[in-house]
Amino acid sequence: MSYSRVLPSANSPVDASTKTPAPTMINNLLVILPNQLLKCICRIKSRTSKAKLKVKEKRLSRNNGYLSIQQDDPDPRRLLDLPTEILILIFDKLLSVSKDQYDLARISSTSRQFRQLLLPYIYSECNILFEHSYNENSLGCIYRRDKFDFYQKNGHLVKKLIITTDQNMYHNSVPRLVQFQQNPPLPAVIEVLIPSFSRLTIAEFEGKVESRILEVMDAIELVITNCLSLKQLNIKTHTRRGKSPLSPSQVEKYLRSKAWSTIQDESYDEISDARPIAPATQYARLESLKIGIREYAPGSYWQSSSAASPEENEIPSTLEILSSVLYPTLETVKRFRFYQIPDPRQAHYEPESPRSENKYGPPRYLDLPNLESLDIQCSREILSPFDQYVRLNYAKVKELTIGLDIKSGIKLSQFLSRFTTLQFLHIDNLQPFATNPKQRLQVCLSRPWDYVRENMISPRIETLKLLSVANTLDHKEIIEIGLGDDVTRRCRVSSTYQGKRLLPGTKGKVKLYSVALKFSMIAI
Amino acid sequence: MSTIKLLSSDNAELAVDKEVAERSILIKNMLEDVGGDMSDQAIPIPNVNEAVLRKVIEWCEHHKSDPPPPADEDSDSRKKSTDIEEWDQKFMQVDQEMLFEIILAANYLDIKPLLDVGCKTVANMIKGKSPEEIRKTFNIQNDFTPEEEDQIRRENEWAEE
Repeated sequence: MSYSRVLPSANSPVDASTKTPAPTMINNLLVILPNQLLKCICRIKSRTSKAKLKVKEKRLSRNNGYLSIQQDDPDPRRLLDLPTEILILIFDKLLSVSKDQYDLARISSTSRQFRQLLLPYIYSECNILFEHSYNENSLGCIYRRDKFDFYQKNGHLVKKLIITTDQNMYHNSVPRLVQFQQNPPLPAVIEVLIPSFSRLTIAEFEGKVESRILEVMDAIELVITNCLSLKQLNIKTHTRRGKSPLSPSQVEKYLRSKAWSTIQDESYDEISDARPIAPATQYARLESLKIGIREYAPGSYWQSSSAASPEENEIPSTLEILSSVLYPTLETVKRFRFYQIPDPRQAHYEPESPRSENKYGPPRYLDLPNLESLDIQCSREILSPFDQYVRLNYAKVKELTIGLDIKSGIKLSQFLSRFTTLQFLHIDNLQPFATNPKQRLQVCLSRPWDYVRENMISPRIETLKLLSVANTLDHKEIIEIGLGDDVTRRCRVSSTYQGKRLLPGTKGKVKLYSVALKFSMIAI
Repeated sequence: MSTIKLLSSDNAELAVDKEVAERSILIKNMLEDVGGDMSDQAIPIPNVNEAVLRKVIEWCEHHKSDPPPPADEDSDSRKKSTDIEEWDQKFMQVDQEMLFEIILAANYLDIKPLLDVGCKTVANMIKGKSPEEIRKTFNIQNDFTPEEEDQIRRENEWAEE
């Protein structure tokens, strides 16, 4: 392309006739092809949004038509003349490189229009840390009250709320502890913060909440009853069963009423307009739920559960309390991820299903009747609480993402047999390396993908549309050959190659590879 | 290969390969709707002047054989980065006025990858600059009152943490 044609200069008078041909042309075409063209003109018009039209008018009057792009233009188009929709696109790009809010906040102080456009980005995510005070005179939580105020004011912009609670106080938070006479408990703070969060879609609760688990539950309840637009709830917490500031009888009362007013104390008065919530009539309808809980047995960290008093042992588990808080929101949940926070210490749950009635009434479950997508780790620590606390309609689950833990001794093919109409199956770590040389010798399977086909794929080949395996040691071609034509013709196979497999050719390395392959079959 | 004619806002007629012009979803849909041969009639592009239209065609020419963008918008890595390929970077080395005109034309003609490159270019011009530098670069007035500036400064303090 060359620019051989001489552009009319900005200052040259514009002949009125040069501006008209476009409509004339449309009219001519209308005569020729009335039907199709009408349609296509309508389309042009509909695509030219109001903003664009406005800009067009502005520009027509300013530049006397579209004739000039020269630098000496007396009134060149400026960045902020662009329609808002395009400025938003630009800021989207900007956001993808300046992830941190400070950068955006800084840029927003350029001009009023910049600020207006950037505010939704700056306030879209509200991330507040609450540190629990152990000062007996002030048992509430410490948080940045200035930050809190700004979010409260701009609550309508908040899409994602992240509440991090920490049982430990950071050294530099101590001044804040003494700054305020009273520190309110978490639910009281949340109650003041969230009424303006009318567009909240994601809420995350995380942190170590040894003794404050009920406060976190109350905070969760406040969010699901106040923020009705909430779609996704993520809970990731370390806790200890039985370690509650409340007596078991108070816990019982809590479970029966589930209104946080039962655990109200004077420190709630700190936030003057805090008031007990009326029993909720409306709840958010969640679509996605992620729960990652690491719960220890009663007693201290380093002692076994026998050190706990019988009374402590009767305190319901976090999952049970959570079930009773969340049950009104679960019917619509389509995606569920159930995982565990990795921790070297022993997990609390033992296989002891089914649960029986306890002093708090019949067992409570996380009921997910409409679940379509499940993401779970195939290990004993996960599957035993899962089976004890979660109920779902396996025939409705279309998508399963599964992480394989070869040390657990749980057979993946057995677990898979629960799902009768799977369409999408994602398996992570199908061939992890063996760590214990003795174990490597236990099972030898010479053709691993045959095994996968026969035990995992064939029973559900009628419905399965996609099999994806991540972190595998085999290239896709090998997997496809191993699975055979029957499988690959009906079901798409995708795999991410771990890249750790050593190239064939050097004896020792090939051997290592085949041993790893064989070993991984123990788990599946 | 069939060619079609485009008529710019300032009444210049430009002949373009159909394949090249169809990088514009607007033109592509239009041709589909008309369903036939448009070789004898110029398609009016009333929002774009000749210089800008030539620039846009130049881009379409260079990118005519690009694969279509992935349908899945969420997993779009293209969106996640402000990296621009070298040819596009050179292509975008124009004055601001032209840059904004190209962006507007890409938006109007519905050429998403070009709109993307344009927006990335502007984002890169903003990135890493102080508010004062941004004002200078884009000729923007600081229209905050001193009180507002003070409030924004306080508000920014916590964001810094």
